[in-house]
Amino acid sequence: MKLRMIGLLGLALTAGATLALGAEGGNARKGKYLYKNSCKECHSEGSEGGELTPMSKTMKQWDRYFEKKADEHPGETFGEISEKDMKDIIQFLYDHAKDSPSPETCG
Amino acid sequence: MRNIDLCIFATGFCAGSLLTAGEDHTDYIDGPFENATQVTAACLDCHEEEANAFMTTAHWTWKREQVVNGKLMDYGKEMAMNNYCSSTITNRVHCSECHAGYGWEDETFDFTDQTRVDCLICHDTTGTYHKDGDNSGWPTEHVKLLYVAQNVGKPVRQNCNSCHALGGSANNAKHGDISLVLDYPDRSIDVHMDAGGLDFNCQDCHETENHQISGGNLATTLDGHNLISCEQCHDSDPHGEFLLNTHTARIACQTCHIPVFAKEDATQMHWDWSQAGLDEPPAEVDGKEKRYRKPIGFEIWKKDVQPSYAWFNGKAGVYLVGDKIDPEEVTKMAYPLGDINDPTAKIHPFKIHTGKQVYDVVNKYFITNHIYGEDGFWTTFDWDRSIRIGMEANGMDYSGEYGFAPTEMYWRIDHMVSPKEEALTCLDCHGDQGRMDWEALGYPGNPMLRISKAD
Ligand code: HEC
Repeated sequence: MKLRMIGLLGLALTAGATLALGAEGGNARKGKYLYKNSCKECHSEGSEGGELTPMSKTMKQWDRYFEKKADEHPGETFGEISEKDMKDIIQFLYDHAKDSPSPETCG
Repeated sequence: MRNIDLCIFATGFCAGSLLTAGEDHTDYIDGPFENATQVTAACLDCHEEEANAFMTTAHWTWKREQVVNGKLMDYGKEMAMNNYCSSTITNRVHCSECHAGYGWEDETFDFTDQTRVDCLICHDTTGTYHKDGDNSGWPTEHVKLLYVAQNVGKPVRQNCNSCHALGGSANNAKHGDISLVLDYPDRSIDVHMDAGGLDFNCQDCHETENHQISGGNLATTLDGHNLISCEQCHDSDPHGEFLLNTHTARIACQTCHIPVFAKEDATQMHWDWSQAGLDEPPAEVDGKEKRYRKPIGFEIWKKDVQPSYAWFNGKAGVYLVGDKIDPEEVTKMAYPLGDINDPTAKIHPFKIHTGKQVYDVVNKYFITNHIYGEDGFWTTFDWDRSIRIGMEANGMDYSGEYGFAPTEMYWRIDHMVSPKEEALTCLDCHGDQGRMDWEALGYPGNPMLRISKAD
């Protein structure tokens, strides 16, 4: 390895904050895992948030929810999740939305 | 996360092991990039040696000189025949989706051109890099090359899975023990890769030097070259119980510790090409285990599959393009070598994928069919036409008469190691309903019964 630069390097992954919400830049496969861990407990059939899978909304509806309505989400969950993880979750929901090329429930 | 630290570079050199999660490359790479080879050119500014090393590996060459069915020859994906889409030879545009390079669409591809190396498929840390375009391994259009290039790092499971879990054109179609569930598995799926626990990356076991990744697929590593084993970390007396330790000489660890494969994600167990191209699916299709896709034919998919068991000494045999077959018998496309009398062989778990493949009725060999592209079977559904194109491209005689013959292909089962509470116990093999076929393995019967009778 011939690295030329000298400097201080933070190892955090770049959050890619300049990318638009929902549609791109998140890691959907990681998002699936994060969704299972952070969301599913309240969003399975019969639980307090009601069943929710990527197929619950269209791509546009997912975009709209996270742009406009996410602040209204009950509880602390959304505030506790890092921006980067949230982006991955959104990507998962969006990529497998009802009208996406590969709709998916959260298995 | 392991191996993450904030490090101050004093000398401009930082040990690679600190960088598992990806070193921020923003300061080294500024783009803009019009195409992926320009990214590689930027990587080469610092990493030319790495590219040269990579270009000697099977991930680039798709072949290696090795002993195949007793003869020394070049062998690998480039010329192999399997139980899925049969052969890469006339289907490069499609198959190269998983070549770690850009643009291998036909025999004119320049294997000496470093800028054709695809660094990103293994080193992307954003999870946004995709090569699923059926376009000879170029990334899909929507990939933000600059963003991906600035965020490269050491591979994680998700990188390897992008090809190794998706071969055969669907999640877990091929291996059975490598599916997208290994992106972020929990302990019940695999004790080592458990994302909330040990969180092993692939290269923690598949030790890697100079881009040479150890380990190998049964169907392309026929000489046992560079294989890895559990004993790299665990010794051969790993159990607290003497009787269990007496098993390790003849039983692979995987046999007891991987009681089922295809956890969570089903795997394809059967592919019958003879029914491909029909407008109506066959009556038995239920859309779950029994599926039908017009270009593919009839398929059986299963979850939580109990492995089959066979002796295995690390080496394998294969069907080679042009070998004669007996169409009444099942032809083994890839199979393990070793038997009960071979002291280097152990009983090992396998997935046995069965199928029916198109063959030349007069010449009695399997056909390297032309599947992909405008004139391929997946577009025309015309067997005769696509066969002619495939056989001509491969320089083989075609009699004009085709039929379908039964095949099977063995896949090693090595991943999805269960928690030890779920490992097989004595009666799982030695009980009346035990899962071993003792006679097929070469024993006169259940060896446990022999001992108790002798008493
Ligand atoms: C502590 C429980 C809890 C957790 C954890 C939780 N939610 Fe919710 N969520 C709720 C409740 C309660 C509602 C309101 C349901 C209603 O109004 O019917 C809701 C509503 C929603 C809605 C709106 C549903 C709709 O029909 O429009 C979305 C979207 C949503 N949650 C997404 C998430 C995501 C993404 C996560 C994980 C990051 C998550 N939730 C985690 C409890 C939870």
